[in-house]
Amino acid sequence: MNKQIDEEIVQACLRNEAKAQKALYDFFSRTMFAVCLRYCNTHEDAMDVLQEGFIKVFTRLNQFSGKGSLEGWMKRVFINTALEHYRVNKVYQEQSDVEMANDNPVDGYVLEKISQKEIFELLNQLAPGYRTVLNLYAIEGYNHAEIAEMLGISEGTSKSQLSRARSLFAQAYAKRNNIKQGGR
Amino acid sequence: MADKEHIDSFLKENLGNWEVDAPPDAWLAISKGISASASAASTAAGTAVTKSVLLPFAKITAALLGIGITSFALVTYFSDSTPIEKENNQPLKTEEVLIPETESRSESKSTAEPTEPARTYVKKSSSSTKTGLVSLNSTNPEPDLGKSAKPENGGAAGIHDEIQTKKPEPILNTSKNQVDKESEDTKEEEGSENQSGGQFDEPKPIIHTAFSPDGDGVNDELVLEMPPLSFFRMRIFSLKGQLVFETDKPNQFWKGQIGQSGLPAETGNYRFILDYQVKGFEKVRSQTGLIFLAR
Repeated sequence: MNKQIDEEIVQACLRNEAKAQKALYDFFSRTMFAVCLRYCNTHEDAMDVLQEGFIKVFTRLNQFSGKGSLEGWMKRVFINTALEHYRVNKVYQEQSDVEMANDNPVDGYVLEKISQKEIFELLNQLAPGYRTVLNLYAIEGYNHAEIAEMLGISEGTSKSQLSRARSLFAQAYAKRNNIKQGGR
Repeated sequence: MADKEHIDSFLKENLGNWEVDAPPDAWLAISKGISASASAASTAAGTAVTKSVLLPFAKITAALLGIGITSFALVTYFSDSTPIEKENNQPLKTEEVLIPETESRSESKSTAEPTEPARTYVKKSSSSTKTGLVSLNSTNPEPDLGKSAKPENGGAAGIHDEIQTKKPEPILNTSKNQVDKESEDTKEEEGSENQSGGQFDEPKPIIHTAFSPDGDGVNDELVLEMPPLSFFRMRIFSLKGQLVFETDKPNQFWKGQIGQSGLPAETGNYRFILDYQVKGFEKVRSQTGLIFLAR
């Protein structure tokens, strides 16, 4: 599933060849920008993280062990950069989800076509802490112990946030579908 | 949708491989950032290189110096006997100061005379220097030298031995001194680098967000107070999105005109996008906000 980039390009990047760096950027920027967006509150923040992350990638490429895919390593760099970006604000500890409180119960229904962007927007409207845990657990596949360490929270908090995040996401999704169906 | 795994896999399937076009100007900022950090890294590498080159270099010079002195001693010993006595007096005199025991001092005085014991002394001392040098040329010279010389010194059996072991020490000390000096130098460099690099917070620009370009000489330009920069770009847009001003010079301020036309921009709010990189810092920052123009 991961994209594979030419080993030669990576080697050239290690020699700081500008062309290769551009090639690597072109190859991965779309994927990585999507990662940035998923972990950031605003588009501007995502742009900051994209820049910072790529600079880190190029300056620390020699630290990439070669175990696992380069894409996976890069994703991790970007995720950590994004998390660092918000660490100061301690957004992961306290949550408010008042705006989501009174929603219709979720019905079981068949998933209809929904664009990635729409899903992202649903996910992104969750409070940052919920969104981050859901991102890390569901999409990136980290376990609770890892998430707890990355975010500086307890495992219990990670678990409770995840389950709350899931139900909030499901509600948001259902709401969106109801609106769509009502509009037809 | 209700069950947990379903939500997780739904998200993973849809967003796991999600891609979004990165903003078009991102690469510019990144490449600037890389070259900035690369130059910082290369200076760091430079000090590392001087370190790694100079340390062995100092060792080698010390070794060569030692060899020179040994061979000089050997040559002087094996050449004609009459000049030797005079020549040998010189190194012995310096050793007189180094040797703490009075007994050895008297001995060295006696060696100053051109007698048999003096000869044996010189011979031994030169040979001992040679052995000292062998260890110096072997695998890890620098730390060995002082140690190999000093224990011998402490467990000196006789006066001759005492003198022998004293002889190589000045050489070794000079070599050590050189090395110490070298490492001190590099330490100082590292220290100054750390100070300039990490300890201070990144300075922030000051933007005076309101101005009145009416030509009265007061507040006619949009003034920015920028710290020393390695990258700068200021763009100003009207709220309709028209680019009215763009510059890459931090000291070029907007005078309230639309582009190159020279037409006065209307009173109102304008949006600025400021991209900059403070000298010595890695990150290219972007700042945006509103400016109020009043005529």
